[in-house]
Amino acid sequence: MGVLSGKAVILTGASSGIGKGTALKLAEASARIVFTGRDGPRSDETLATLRAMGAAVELVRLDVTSEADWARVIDTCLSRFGRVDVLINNAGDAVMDRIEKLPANAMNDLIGVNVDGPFLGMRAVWPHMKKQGGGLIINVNSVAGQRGNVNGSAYCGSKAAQLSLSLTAAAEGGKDNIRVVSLHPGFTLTEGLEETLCTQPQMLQPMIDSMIPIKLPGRPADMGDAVVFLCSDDARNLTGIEINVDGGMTAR
Amino acid sequence: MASFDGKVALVANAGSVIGRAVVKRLAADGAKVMAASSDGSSVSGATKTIVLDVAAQASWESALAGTVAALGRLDILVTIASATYATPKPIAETSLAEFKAVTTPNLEGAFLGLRFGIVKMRELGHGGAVVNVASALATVGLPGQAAYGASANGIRMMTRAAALSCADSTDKIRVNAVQVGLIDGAPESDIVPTLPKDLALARRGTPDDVAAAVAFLASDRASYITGYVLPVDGGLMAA
Amino acid sequence: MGTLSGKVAIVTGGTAGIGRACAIAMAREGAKLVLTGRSAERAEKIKPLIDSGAAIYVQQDTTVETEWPKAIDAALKAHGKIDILVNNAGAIAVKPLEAMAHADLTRMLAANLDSVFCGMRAVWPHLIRNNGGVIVNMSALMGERTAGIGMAYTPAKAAQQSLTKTAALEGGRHNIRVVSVLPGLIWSDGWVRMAGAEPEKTKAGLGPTIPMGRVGETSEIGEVVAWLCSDDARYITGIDIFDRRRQSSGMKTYVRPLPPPYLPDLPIFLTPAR
Repeated sequence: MGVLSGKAVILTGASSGIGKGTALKLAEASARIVFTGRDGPRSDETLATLRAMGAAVELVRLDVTSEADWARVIDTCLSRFGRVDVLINNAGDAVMDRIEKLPANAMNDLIGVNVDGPFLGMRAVWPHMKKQGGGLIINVNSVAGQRGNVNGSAYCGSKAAQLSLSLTAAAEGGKDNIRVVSLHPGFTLTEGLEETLCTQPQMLQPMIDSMIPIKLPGRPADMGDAVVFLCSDDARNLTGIEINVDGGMTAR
Repeated sequence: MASFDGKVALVANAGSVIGRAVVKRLAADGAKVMAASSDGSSVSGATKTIVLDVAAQASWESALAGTVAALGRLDILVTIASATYATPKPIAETSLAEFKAVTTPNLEGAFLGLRFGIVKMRELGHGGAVVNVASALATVGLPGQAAYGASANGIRMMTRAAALSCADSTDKIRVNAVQVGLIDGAPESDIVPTLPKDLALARRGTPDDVAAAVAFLASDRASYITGYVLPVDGGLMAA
Repeated sequence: MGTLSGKVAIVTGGTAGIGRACAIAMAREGAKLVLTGRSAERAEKIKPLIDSGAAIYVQQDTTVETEWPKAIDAALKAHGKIDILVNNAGAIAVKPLEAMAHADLTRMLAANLDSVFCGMRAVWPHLIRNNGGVIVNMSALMGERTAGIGMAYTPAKAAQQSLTKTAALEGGRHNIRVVSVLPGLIWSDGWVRMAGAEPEKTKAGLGPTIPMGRVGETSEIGEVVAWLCSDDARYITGIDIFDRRRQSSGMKTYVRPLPPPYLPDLPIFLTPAR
């Protein structure tokens, strides 16, 4: 019987990467999961894997910037599982380049996925969590939301905005026992990144060595571990915090 | 699920309110716990107890060696900073001796624990985790408790420096901190006796809340977390 | 008329490096200075300031509580009041963890924390009698951003920064402003000594590690300190939100508006004026 047995969790962007790693850890902990993902074939694969683990799981399509889509996702969770205990806003996007080279709409696009998305998601679950007597929202951010970064004017800007949103939501949610936590992965080696880097593997380790004190990349499972902790009763007094799972990157 | 089966923990200041909760939780999670305190008194859940004067190097060396001798290894070290002025006093009315009576056990306690604990873990060669417990009130001024605030901020940054010094993956030693807000029985609850109106969770936390965070950071589930300060404060410092 | 005309300032460690740069800038702005240092020879380095009448030298070990009256008394005897204290004297010890000794921490705390505590206490009643004043405590970028070698130095500076904030809150109602300055990589005699055989090469080599592309000069800190002591900075005190998120631009100053009338019952840091 897993530590999250009975909990109903909505998780966005779980077709791959951190989202998928989180989904696997949630399933291991016996959570019931409604997840979304952009990539059709990969989402189906994730669904199959979770089902094979014996998890109660639904896959739903979601455009994070669509209020109607969010309503549909919440409804699916409520009709399938009767409640929504946790919302994990993991779906996100990044476009990195020098400010003068970024397209003019880069900021707007990233704000759409990284800020509007979580904003709409939180708005959608709020009344339900309130009625239930509480809930947890985890917004998956990044170290990029805490520090400036060359090439990150739009990305870091959007993530910093997301962080501010999380802190305010935490302040507002307390009275309804709705906790809000911002999760900050550092450099996480996802399948996508591994594919991109497979042509130049020799570049990876030197980059990791210089960027990450622990000299290892993060793995989706590491983020999943932190999420399971945050969803558990052990974390009942945590809200309005930034939790960094970054191998020491922000310790400097 | 016991995450610390086969592991050994040394908890300094084990007799404090938070110390007791940490001992209990680590033991419940399967660890053998050496409870160290200034008088070596017993703590529920502890496998053994030992005397430790946190401001004295020799005492730390002997407590660390004593833990390994008695319990076979050392995987987890927890330090807890809890010294404050008995009554709040402004800087203008505090002597240097009174100031140091607080900063010394808090800062030197954490420093010596880190300095000699990390080296001991390196010697033993099987990795480990250190968790420093200090105040969430580290980054704001604390009228009336200047030394406590100063200690907390020092410990916060010391945690990060120590983490960086052993971050190299061959050591597998992680160093993190838990930053404590308004917890029943902890000094912060005296320093802020009335619950702030805008405190998100509108309640005080419990020592068990702190112990849960310590247990998480000490566990393998936090294997990618180092140099991090985890606030257990019900949103106190968020707004 | 200089911006510090008629002001009396004590600057510890004022004979070299950043301290001397503060003294030069403040003297130019018309301040009367008491510069402290640890040995008589150090007075040589500030001869021009002494000869011009802008400064007097007092030998003082800031880490010794009983030596603070020397600086206070010298200022009062020469000028009858004290307006400003710049707690610049400090010490650095950066080394790998295994090379670190208990004595390193003790020394760092004495030089960077206890000395600042003693200094603030020593001037406090005089600043109150003066209807206000300014205390500038010299921290370091390593008080906020650190490295493995900083385990004794960083906490001392971080603790000092906290002390600064507390003093700012306690001093608000007396019109005593207290601020921290966190210099980053500032080229000074200390660096030249550490740099070894080819200091210019080391200096140039450090540039790329900094967003601005170069290390700073002591005069750049001196100018900021002089400005913080001036009336231009009258609404600046304490330290605001600890901002982990910002990259260093070589130097940081933390500012916060004066709190509303001091209400001892409320947790000060949660009052709405923030």
